[in-house]
Amino acid sequence: MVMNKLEQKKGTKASYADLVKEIAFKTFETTCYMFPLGEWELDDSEDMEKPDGSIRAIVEFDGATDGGLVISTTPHLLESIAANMLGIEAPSREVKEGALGEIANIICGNTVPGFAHNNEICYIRPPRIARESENFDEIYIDKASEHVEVILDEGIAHITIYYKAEATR
Amino acid sequence: MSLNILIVDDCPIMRMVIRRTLNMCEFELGEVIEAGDGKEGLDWMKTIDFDFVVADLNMPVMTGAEMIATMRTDPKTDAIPVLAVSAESNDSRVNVISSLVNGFVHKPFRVEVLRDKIFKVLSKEAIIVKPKAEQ
Repeated sequence: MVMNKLEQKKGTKASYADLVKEIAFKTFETTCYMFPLGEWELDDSEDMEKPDGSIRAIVEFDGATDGGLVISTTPHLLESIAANMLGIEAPSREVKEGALGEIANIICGNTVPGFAHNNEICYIRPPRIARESENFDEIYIDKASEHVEVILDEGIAHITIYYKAEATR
Repeated sequence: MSLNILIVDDCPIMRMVIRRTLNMCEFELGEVIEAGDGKEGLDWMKTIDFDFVVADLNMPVMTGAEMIATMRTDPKTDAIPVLAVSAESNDSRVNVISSLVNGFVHKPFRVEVLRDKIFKVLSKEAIIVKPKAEQ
């Protein structure tokens, strides 16, 4: 699964970002019926609203490597995620937060084994909504990080994964 | 025959997705109960006779793996079919879990995939008879 893809791409810092992005696109497509913009559409994405970080979900992990995966979206994308996952209109704030947490959980669960050495076990903790005061760049100051921007037809998500660099291949 | 089904997942949204998927299946539902962790799931099993359990693995308080292991040691629950639904991607852990359950659905999944897996598990355990056209 993930390891095989990483075996093919191992070595470069960019490959970890590529892996996160690939898993994120698959998660959004499968779970929320959202699709990446085509290359010919990316110029238009510069005008799209960007996440302001006001709502973020985090999934922490430990074991073979430790760190956290943080995702933030625009309000419109957040609403669409919840609505598409459940087939409902006008989801409540609680539902939207839960949906974002589950997306983070899925992306993290699929990504983290690729960051652990020798396929050793990582424990993924339940997702939670980050407090406004939490500055993850400071909290994880001793960790390596990858930041990716995921541009979808419904909006933009930002994902950052912080991880212990020496645990990676 | 209506089926009593237990959904165990710490994420309310995923419980709603699974419940929605169950409603897409064409069998008669009895009690469909939701629990937020493995311990709560085991507590429900003391009061209701379930025909099927759909369980996440990564949960607080008691994980799905711990819940399933406990189920398999109790004569009242050891034969209940369990479908595990998880984003777990570590091959060795997936193999261990797969040996304890009747089916495994990896997240992310399409609801149609979950629906088909539910049918497959319940048909294999002879709990439902799937229409021939869908077999």
